[in-house]
Amino acid sequence: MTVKTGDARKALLAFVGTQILPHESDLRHWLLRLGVKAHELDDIVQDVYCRLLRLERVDHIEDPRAYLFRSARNVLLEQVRKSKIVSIMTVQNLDELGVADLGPSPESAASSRAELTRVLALIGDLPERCRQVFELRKVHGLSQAETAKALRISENIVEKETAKGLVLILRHMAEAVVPDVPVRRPKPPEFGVLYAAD
Amino acid sequence: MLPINDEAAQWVARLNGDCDDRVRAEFEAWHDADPRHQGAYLRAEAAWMMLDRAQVMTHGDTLHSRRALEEKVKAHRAAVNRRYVLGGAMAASVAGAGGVGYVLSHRLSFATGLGELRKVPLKDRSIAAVNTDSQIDVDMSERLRHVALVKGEAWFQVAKNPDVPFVVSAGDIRVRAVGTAFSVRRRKEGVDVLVTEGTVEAWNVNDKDGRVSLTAGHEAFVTEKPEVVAVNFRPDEVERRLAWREREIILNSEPLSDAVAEFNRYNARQIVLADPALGASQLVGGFQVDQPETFARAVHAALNVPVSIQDDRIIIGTNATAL
Repeated sequence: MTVKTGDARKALLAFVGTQILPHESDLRHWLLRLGVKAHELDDIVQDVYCRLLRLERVDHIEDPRAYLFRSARNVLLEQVRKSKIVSIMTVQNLDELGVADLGPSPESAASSRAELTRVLALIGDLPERCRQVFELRKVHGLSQAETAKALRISENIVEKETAKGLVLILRHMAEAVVPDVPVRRPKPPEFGVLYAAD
Repeated sequence: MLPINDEAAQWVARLNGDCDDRVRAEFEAWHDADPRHQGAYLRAEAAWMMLDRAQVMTHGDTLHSRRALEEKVKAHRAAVNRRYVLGGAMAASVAGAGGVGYVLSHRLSFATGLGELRKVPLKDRSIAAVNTDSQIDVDMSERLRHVALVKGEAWFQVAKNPDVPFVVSAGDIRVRAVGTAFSVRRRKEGVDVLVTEGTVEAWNVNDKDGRVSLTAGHEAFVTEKPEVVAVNFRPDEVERRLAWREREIILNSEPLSDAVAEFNRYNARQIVLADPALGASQLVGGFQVDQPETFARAVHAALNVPVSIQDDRIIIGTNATAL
């Protein structure tokens, strides 16, 4: 299986980056609550992402968060059947696993303001040189060579810092819940409809 | 041996650097060896792409077509590249409609055109959301973070740093914060200050004793002529008036005249209220800032008044032309 390129891959990456990754830490917490051991988490999560690769398209997925949890549940069930995971409580418990207790998708995840804050916080929390590399590459859109020139370091170092930073960001996304900017506003009953208030 | 997730991140870095066919072949072999590798690589690459969203964040693709936005990003990149090639100067000054802010700049001037709304990440990791037809001049120094609101309206989410005050100036009026979120809007005779998080102080430089302190949910109008400033606790009102950050206008019993003025801030196609007597009618509703026509049609339905929708303007309250 080779890596697909082109628009389909781009659409999948955009979907995973904005609709799936932000829920990964919740998914991991949920799996832990179900009794999955910490050292088994990565395997399951990777399996879930791998399943996303098999999708022809993603635009039909209306609730990505629910989709992610359902998909993880299927992975779990399959692994239990194959006895790959023995530490999980009981198969019976698993079969009763619903996704009803997941709660609604946090609305804030969809707001671009919250998203910008989240992305900038992820970059801002990196160690100094890492952060400089990510600001140039991601905020300013510079290439690896241009970044190396701007910071007067070798391309090899830029690549190493890039890898290091991405590892840290991925770990951070897997573990922590980055606080969002609270979005609270009075919503009228229906958008685009006026009521005379008298 | 490295965890698979870390290996995947390394591959993303290698493939997005300066890599040759040999590296690519090596990667393909790794990728195909294990479905977990494939999942981990998708995850890492998705995160890498997702970080590009820090680059240019705008609301309202409706306003600028996607193509225009891409052109802008390209021009921005070219400009940034030139700067770095020419000796890595960090200072940047961008003005005019469609300006793009640089997160690394200590100083920048940033302006929006009519109907434009931009989020600008600042050097100190604060964020400025700049509303329609507005301009801010940012000057970050070691002792002071200063933003001059030259015109219009902006909301700031201030990165916490107790040692370096964050001050917004608007004419003679100053608003000072440490780590908080608030907005400042210039009006004819003064400045609206709305606080969404934390605490800010606001004052007129000609009346330093008249300094007021506002916490989350409070709003105040600080006048150009030094006067006693009334501070009100109206959290819902503060949020309503900041709906522009989501490109929305929310009306909660606002008079029609105010609603019309609000739409006219964002659109070249102005709404004209032909019958002033209608101006006091109070309305409840929510709209996109760039859809005055939808609003006008809703006014027609809600108040049962004639509305004339023309190419260059929209007239409410006249029989001149049928709808």
